[in-house]
Amino acid sequence: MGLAKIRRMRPRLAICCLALCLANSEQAALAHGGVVLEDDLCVINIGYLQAHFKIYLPGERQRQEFCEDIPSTGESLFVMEYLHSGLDDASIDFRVIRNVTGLGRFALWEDVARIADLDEITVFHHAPAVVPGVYSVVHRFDEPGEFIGIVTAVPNDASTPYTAVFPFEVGFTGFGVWPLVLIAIAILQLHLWHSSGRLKRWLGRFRPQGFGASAVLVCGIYLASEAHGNQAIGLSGADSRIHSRSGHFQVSVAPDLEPLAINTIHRWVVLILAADGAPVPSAEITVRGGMPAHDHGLPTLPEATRYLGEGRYLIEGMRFHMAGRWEVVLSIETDALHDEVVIPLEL
Amino acid sequence: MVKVPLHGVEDRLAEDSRSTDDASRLTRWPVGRLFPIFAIIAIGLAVALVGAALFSLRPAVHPAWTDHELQLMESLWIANLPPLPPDPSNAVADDPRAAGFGHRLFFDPRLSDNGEFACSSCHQPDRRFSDGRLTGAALGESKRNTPSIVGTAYSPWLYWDGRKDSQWSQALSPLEDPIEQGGNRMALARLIAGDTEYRRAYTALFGTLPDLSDAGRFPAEAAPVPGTPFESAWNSMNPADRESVTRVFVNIGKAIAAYERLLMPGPSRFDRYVEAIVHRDASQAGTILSADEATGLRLFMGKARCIECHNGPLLTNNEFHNTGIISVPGKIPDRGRIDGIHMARGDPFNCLGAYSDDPEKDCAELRFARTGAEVVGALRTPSLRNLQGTAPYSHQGQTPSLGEMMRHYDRAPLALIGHNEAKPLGLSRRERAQLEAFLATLDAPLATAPQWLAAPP
Repeated sequence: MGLAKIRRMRPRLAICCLALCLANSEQAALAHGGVVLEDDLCVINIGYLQAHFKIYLPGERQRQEFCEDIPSTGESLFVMEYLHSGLDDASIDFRVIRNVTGLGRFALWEDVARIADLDEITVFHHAPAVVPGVYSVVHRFDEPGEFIGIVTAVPNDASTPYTAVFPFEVGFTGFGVWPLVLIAIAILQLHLWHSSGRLKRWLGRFRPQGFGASAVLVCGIYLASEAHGNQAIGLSGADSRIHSRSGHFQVSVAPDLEPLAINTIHRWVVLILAADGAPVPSAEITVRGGMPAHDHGLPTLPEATRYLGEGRYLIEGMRFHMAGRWEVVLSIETDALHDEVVIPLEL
Repeated sequence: MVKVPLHGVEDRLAEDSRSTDDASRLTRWPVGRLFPIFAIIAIGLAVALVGAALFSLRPAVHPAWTDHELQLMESLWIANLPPLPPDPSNAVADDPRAAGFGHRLFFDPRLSDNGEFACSSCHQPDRRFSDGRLTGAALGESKRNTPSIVGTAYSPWLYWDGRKDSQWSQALSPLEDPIEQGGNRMALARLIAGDTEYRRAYTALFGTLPDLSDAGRFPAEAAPVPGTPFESAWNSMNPADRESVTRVFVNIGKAIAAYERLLMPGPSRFDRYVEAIVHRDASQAGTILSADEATGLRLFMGKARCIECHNGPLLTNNEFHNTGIISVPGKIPDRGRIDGIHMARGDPFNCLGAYSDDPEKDCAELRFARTGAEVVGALRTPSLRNLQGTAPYSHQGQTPSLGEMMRHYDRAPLALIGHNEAKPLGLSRRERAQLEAFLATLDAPLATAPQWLAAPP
């Protein structure tokens, strides 16, 4: 009796698990941000220059992100977040034409290049401009249809233009949530058949609990892979001497702001000693950092600006803009060695 | 009434109905069987509803503060506002004569092209030096919501996007912006030279004015503003004359900044509460903030994470953050700091420029300012002191009320461009109301003497 009950519960567990997986994957999509690169990134390749590409319908779909096809007409916002710094000073030309190639989504740049008069079929054109950081344009589509977007970039240090072409549809509704609904119905039906024993009869030697077990296994792996987040590193207060990651250097820091406070720009003197305690004279130091618990780095870009002698370096432009845990990472490079030191701070 | 059991009759009646009416038998059967389930669900729901109602109606209690909370609370206390940092780029920043001169200029509509708009037209003293509009409007419609000036002397950056790095250089922009005051530096220099009182105040502070009487060298109107009729006149002038006129223009900004440095927030109900708590006078503290307001303060410093950016006695870190405020229909989302920092770097009136009075020109904020993906769509954190009467909020006035703002931060939606740093908070409706109640306790008359808060006589 008990065993039978457990067997009956398995498919239910599998359904719950599947639902959990779906819910979780949606959350993962929501948590997706511009700075963190993820596998589901929609990327536009303009020659060797890459950008994260997305289209919004702020009026109708608020913050829902589309990659190519957009489900309805209306105000559309095209955004390219550069993944390559070459785009920061490149001159970018953005054009949307009606797709008259007859090739639908298989249209290529060669097909577009054959069109004699682009202006005639152009529905939107943004003249070449250098736009650092992120490129965005707004266009209102009044009618559904097939279109081709053409992005041309001329990098600052080159004269050859690079072009990306992306055919897309406006007013494309796709299948919406129906595939999910169908899957859910199918699972429910399987469950029904299974609990009535029919499935067992049909499948002969197939062991139904295997379905549940494998779903649990798949979901388990999925959830585990989702929850791979880093363990928080325990931080103590700023140690007087901190060893670099590979032990090549010992570092101590002296801010000129005592006590260390937020919202005040200040300098640090950093003392860098070799493992044997000898001052390190000609190191190249780069500074980065941020709050491990937040999605941001330092509010400024501090630099090591001067060597003060006896292994001491001046770092300018330090500022912290929030209370809490910070980590400042100094990357130290000499002719022979390269190492990093993490300076934990509690503000 | 006493019910007499009539088993026989009932049974017989039941028997009859069963035999005569098959349909009723079919309908009665499942209801009878399912009834307990319905009853359990209904009772469960009722208990949950009553419980929820009691839970939400329970009176808030005054929080007992932890040491960490007390520390945070004190960090927000206006008594801990550090002395006003010097502005070495402005030699007259702390000169009372400059403040008096700047006060007149700030309220003088002659500083605009059509003689109608003063600085005070948008930065209205009775609206906390803001204007209550979605976006500012003078000669034209501005792109952004008019921010308050109060306390900005503490900020290394001005404007929502931080495209200016001093109050004096900020003050210059609207004077010549065609959609704001739309004037030109030549006309402004002539205004100073032609007004006896201005002329006297100017020369006492900055020395002699250039002689503008030679119409061949100094046109009536001229300024290097692209797309205006002033531009070609400006280009026809010789560089030395342009320089002397620009100096006058810059000094106007420096006098206005000397006035603006006086605009400081005063102690609010929240500050009196902290004072009482610091003096361990809990009973008095309890009369200053209501339990809901105090709970709002606790949320502000804790669960709602507001204090992360709205920190320090001015409740702002004056830094740039993308918080995913949605764009105005038909407009590209505000690019914010990514453009602001490029403009600040290219500005001839910045800290490193020739018009800064600072001989050392350390300019660490400008030299080490961050650019790149992290500042795309990022805008400057506004102070939360004196929010009452400054609605609508956000950089384009997209957020009509503080209640709507609480909902926005509670949801922390995706940003259309850049990356929203905020995370969803999971606040209840009541908690959002408590936060809003707390924000109202930050309202107070300015610490500035009243004569500075109206046009000079």
